[in-house]
Amino acid sequence: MKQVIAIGCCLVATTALADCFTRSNIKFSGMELTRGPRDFQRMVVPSPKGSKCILRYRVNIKNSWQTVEGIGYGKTEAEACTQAEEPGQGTILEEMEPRKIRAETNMVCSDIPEIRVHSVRIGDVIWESETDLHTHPQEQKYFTYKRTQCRMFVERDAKNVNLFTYQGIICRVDDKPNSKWLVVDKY
Amino acid sequence: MKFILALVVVGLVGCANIGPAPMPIEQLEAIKLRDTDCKSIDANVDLLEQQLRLKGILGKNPEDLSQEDRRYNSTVRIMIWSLRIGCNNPNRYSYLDWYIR
Repeated sequence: MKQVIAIGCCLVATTALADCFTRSNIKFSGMELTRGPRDFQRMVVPSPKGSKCILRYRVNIKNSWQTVEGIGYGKTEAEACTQAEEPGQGTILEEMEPRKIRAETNMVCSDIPEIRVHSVRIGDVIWESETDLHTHPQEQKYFTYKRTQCRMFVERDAKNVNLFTYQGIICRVDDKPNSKWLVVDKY
Repeated sequence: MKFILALVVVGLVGCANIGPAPMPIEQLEAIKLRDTDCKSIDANVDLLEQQLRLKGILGKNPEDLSQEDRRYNSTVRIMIWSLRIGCNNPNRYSYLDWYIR
């Protein structure tokens, strides 16, 4: 009996932790991107065809980060994920707001950790798309600092009636294409 | 060179009293950075960081600072990063006529 309760609790916990989105029918290919695909996360599960690869990544459209999901199938994991990477496979995921769910909406829940823009602190290690791009187009460009690729970010923080706008610097943690970023400064 | 001299003078004036005092924000805001400041970028950055150290706010997150300290901190950090970015990335600020060129 104890085992059944324990398994039940685990299932409830897993369901509660899963992040949910609604999958739009907006294909992201062909859109004008401020920043191309970044911060790839993938989950591979068995399928009747062999492997199913669910690939999530972030794109910046008109200074707003969006999560895109591409799904691919293949005999092997590599084949499935290559298909999932094709821009034509990508659809934009929208954050779920329960009151706005429509009958035809397809809800997607996944254990892939959700990436979203949030307040950061100096020393945090984050995905690049967890910070907004600088508002000035010239300051959105990457720059080199101590032989590392860096960029500026802005963060808006509404406290009571005051809106604080901070800016800061993030730099790649390593040279890998899908590397995380370190918050080097914020002011 | 003028930039270092300005900081040193302010530092010495501060020493005449009870010890080094951080540079007043009005004087910091009046400093115009030039490409010649890149020649001694390390010394300039050290001196600017020293102002934050004297204020006791070096390396602090802005959320943890008072409004006055936040203004002081951002003024200095913007100067530091203007030097770090501008000196290592030529033409980055070519669109500005009042910044490092």
